[in-house]
Amino acid sequence: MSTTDAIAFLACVALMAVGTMALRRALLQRREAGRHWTVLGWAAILTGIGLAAVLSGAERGLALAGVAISLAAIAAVLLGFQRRPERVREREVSAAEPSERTSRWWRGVVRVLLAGPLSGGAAIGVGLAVAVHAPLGEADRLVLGGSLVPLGWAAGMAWTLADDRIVRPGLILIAVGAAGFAFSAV
Amino acid sequence: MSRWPRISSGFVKAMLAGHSALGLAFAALLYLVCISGTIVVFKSEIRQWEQPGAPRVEGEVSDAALANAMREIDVYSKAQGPIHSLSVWAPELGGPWLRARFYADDGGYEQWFADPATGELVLREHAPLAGFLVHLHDDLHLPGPWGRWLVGLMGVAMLSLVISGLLSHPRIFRDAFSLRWGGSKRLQEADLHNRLSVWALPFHLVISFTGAFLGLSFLIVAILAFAAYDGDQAAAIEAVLGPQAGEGTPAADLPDMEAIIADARARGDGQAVRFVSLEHPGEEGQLVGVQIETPDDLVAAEEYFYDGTGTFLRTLGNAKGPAGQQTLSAMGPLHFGVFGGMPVKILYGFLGLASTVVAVGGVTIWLTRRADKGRPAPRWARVWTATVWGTGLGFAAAALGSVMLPVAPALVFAAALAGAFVLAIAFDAFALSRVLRGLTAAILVAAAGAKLAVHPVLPASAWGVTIALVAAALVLALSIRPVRRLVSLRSSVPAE
Repeated sequence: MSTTDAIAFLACVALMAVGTMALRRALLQRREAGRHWTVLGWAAILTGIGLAAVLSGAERGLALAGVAISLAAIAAVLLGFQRRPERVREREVSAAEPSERTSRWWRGVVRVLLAGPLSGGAAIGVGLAVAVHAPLGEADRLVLGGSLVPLGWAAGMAWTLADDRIVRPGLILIAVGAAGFAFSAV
Repeated sequence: MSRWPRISSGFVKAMLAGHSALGLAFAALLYLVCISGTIVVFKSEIRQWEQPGAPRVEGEVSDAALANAMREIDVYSKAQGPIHSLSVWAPELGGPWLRARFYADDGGYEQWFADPATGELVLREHAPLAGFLVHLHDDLHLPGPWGRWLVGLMGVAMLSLVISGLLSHPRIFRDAFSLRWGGSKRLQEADLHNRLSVWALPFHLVISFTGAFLGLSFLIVAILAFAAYDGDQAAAIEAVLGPQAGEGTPAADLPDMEAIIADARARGDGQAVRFVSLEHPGEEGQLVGVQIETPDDLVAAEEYFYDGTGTFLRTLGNAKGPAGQQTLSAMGPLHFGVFGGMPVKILYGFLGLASTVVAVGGVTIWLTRRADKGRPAPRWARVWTATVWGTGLGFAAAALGSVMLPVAPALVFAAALAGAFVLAIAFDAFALSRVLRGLTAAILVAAAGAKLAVHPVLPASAWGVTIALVAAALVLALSIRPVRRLVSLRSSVPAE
């Protein structure tokens, strides 16, 4: 890490820390009273991102800023750690509950097929169509199409595992995949 | 700050169900990939810890030394059978050494340290612990492409968990800084899981996406080649990875490497050489690639290609080429945290630990939810405790074994992990966790002590590994004090 990078990084971490602490303060106050802390928080964070991009270049600067904000925010969270007595246990159990589903083995198998091969196949179909036909340079088309495969697959996986129905997602995935493959073959 | 966005409780419940099912299905593998990836960030330092006597480079390596290292590994490799490629690694890319490597046609390889002044091969690399950890993260030690594909699938699953986790979190801003400890165990674990997930979101997204892409890249390229290049996989690879070596008879001499390196350096504004490769050495279709540093770019190097006669072909464009090419080339540095020196590696280490804690916490939340609903799962708690802390025990034992035993670290790791499962028969989850943490702490200290007994003089980076081992042991030892019971599984799982 060069001296410039080190200075950019330290300044970025400092601004991110100021920004996240200001946002934390904004959340602890009432809406109106906290507004200026919100503005200060986001201003410090955006300045940190901009500073890193200017001093270390857009690519390295944005990557450094991404790491820095995570670090600063986790530190802010740890600073806000509250120890609770055991007696609040019963009153506080109000976390969101997942939906209860009928647990039939064949529905599990179908869900695995939907989240795995069908979502993956649909994502590959879309990726292929983009890789072949997107109005970009060759390397850009291929990398964009290739990048859409894991993104599309992950989105399909999240959707099919969350949707209580299984027929509709299955049909949509088959249609999307078939359309992608057909379009890429044109 | 308003609550974002207003989502129906039915939607949140459905998302949580999917998030929970996916997380539980891949929990152990995700944990293994996350924790091994966290350690692998420091693979160069671990290599230095394993071979502290390897010749280190002080200053810049001359073109003549780089070229001679290539000639030396060529001569050495010819006695080993048909060779696929040769490469020379300059310092800073993977460690402070000049290294030369050959890959055989059968997939085998050897790596040597070279004298930085002359390029002469002086010491064969022997870093079994680093190799074990890298393979565990890259392919889970599974054969062929299957392991890499499975790890790629883990990246897809992690990306999917990020999406479903965000969508099942309607109080994402309101709870942005809440970390309530004590009281409800489930709320405590959920707070930790959610805060580390949300605030390390850029890291989780980058790691999971690049991991999925890198793991599945060959599969994706093969499918793209089939559809877009009429099955010509070489053409698809060439479109994104640059010129490829041609097949040919072994009739050609090696090109003049020193002249090629000098030419590439001149094209690269006189910057330092990072890496030199020679594909299909001595064949008519041989191809040279020279990477020259580009300090202001994320990928930090541009690659220049030359044919077997030393004629310049083209640059790859990973530093100054099309956006797609630059994006592709940036995936490795972003995934492995090698774009900002040691400070970024340390931060990647911390954020990798956050990912690991998130992976562990997901299962803990499930266990506490079951216990809260009157359906405790003490056996699953023991299995999960043995998996989590047994893996740590396995890493510690592999580190100690790499110093003291002539046994592959994978075997030592597997034996220690199996031992943890045997102990799970005798102890409940709470006691098992304490026993395994205590054992791990003791073995970590033993590994550090054994290394110092064998190599009293260590380079600074190897000292860093030794100190990290002792620090980890200290944290584990402190965590098993009675006062830490609050964070154990005991409160989540009633005694059997």
